[in-house]
Amino acid sequence: MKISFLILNAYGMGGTIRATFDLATELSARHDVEVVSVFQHTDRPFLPLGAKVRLRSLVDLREGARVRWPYTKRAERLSKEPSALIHPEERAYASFSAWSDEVLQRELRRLRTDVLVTTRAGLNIMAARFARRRVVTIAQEHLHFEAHKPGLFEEIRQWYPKLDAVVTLTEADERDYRGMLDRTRTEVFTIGNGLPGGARPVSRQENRIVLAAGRLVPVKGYDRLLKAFARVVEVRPDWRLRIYGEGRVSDKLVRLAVKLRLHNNVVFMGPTGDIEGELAKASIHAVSSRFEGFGMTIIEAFACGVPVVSFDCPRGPREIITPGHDGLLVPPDDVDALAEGLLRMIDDEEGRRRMAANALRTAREYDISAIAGRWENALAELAR
Amino acid sequence: MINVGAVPPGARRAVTSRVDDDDTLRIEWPEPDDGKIVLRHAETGREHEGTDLTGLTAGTWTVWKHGEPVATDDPGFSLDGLLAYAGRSRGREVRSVRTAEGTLAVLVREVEPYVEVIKVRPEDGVIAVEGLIAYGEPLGGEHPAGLVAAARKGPETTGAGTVTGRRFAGSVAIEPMVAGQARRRVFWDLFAEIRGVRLPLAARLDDVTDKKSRVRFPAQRVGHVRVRPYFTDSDSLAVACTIEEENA
Repeated sequence: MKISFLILNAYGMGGTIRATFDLATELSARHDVEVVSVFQHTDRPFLPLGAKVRLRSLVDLREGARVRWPYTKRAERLSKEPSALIHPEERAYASFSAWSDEVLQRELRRLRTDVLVTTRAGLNIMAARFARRRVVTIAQEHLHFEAHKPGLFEEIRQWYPKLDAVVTLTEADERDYRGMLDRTRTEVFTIGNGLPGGARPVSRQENRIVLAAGRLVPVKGYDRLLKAFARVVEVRPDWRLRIYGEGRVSDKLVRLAVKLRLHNNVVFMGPTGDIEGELAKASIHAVSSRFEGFGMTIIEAFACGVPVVSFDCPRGPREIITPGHDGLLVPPDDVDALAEGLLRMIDDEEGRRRMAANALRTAREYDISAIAGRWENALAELAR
Repeated sequence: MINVGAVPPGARRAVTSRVDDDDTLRIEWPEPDDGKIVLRHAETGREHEGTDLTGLTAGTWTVWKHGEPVATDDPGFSLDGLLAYAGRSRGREVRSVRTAEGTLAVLVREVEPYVEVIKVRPEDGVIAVEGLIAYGEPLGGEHPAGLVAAARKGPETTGAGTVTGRRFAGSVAIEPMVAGQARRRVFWDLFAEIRGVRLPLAARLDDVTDKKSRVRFPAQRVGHVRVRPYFTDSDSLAVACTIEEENA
């Protein structure tokens, strides 16, 4: 079977890219798999992709890149014009242009593949509108149902019924999409993200370190994590918080940490290519997100024997964490509750070790081979 | 496939890989293994046989067994362990680390006694520092000590402190540091003065690289001079005194 994944930009770093690469790599053992990146800004992808997966891009943003004749002038002109096909409320709207509209449309009308998996709302809608009839179209939603703004949501409601299937990361999303797609031919499946196989370093629970990881953007709620941690160190001054990642609110967060006088306890570690190695040095993983489409870092932490303290935010964490068994869920947006949860995990060393052991077992359920198997079952069902 | 680098899939992986206090490399396997451990110096290719690491030259050593790099699942990192290891006089530090590829490496570097900074409190007109003597002899009982601030190519000022065993605590007033400052920016290096010997203050017993940009201390102000501690390129603790621009 030929399977094509369409992704915004395969050359960056982030949860969607990692999940798509891991799934594509696993499926490539049995299928002909390609990843099509709408944009390309560097020579090589940052994250690892299996050797059997083909990677190509549609719009080359690298310096000196030229569009071949006879499109050169047209590309130059249209690149400066805003996209007319992507809804302005699509979070990545600014990346798109009239030129990417044209290239994407051409690509979708031409693409001969058995299955096309698109990975965000704007691309899902494009697939619904322009993909060839024979192609099985599957829209993947890495954001949760309520994350879409009303205008974009109207487009989703209008176009998703033309798709063969929507694959959600959480069961809560599945329920919402089933409600929306009631009485249409579109199937809805829940398939979480998978964890690639292979050995991992395992935390010995020996360092008084809490770890958080993810882009430094408002949705990750690091401002609240810093405030909660300021309360933690009042009681447990020898505990440290390490935040991995970079992003546009980094300066703001550094200033907040200084204001909260966390200079002895908090370090912004920057991006890492070895998050598992870093997780294994820590004892607790903190998730302070306002929304979490799935919560892949929770599963990565589990796989390294690190229990999680997380806001019970929509929607991923509660479907992964079993409170008291492999982590703790605290009421969302509640800084005091997060501080309390962290302190509870810090102070109950025996419980923490037990949860760490359970976390290792929970992680096995998300093994990529199991996840790929579920995708293959869904594909078989759709092919009938 | 991912994160295993040169290690063939299915290779046996160490459960524990640490350097003990006596500079022995302790590797534990899931089941008994009698293979010979060989270390290879990354820079020169020179080889060292066995797990006794005393006398290894400085640099990065990769660890091999049965002709393959040793893979390990031990993060090989303990903040308390690093502090304990530095608890006595040594000329050389040997650390085991797990590389991003999941293999075992040994880092060796020459060390001299200094004070490992645990806490810095820049407030109330002083800079107070707590730390532990690293790679030097601890003192029995409690002794008076000093916290010296020395301007680069300039004057010095000293505040009071104490040493109890390994533990150093001291503070220095910032007012004398800024008095009469003419240059826009003056940098001061900090030292613990213990029995007439100056030990640098630094934070090196962890894995945080580039502390200069990663750790940011609060600033204090004396008149129009901003006084902010920082870590230097060599992770030593220093202080920058900066005359603030009118419009800044």
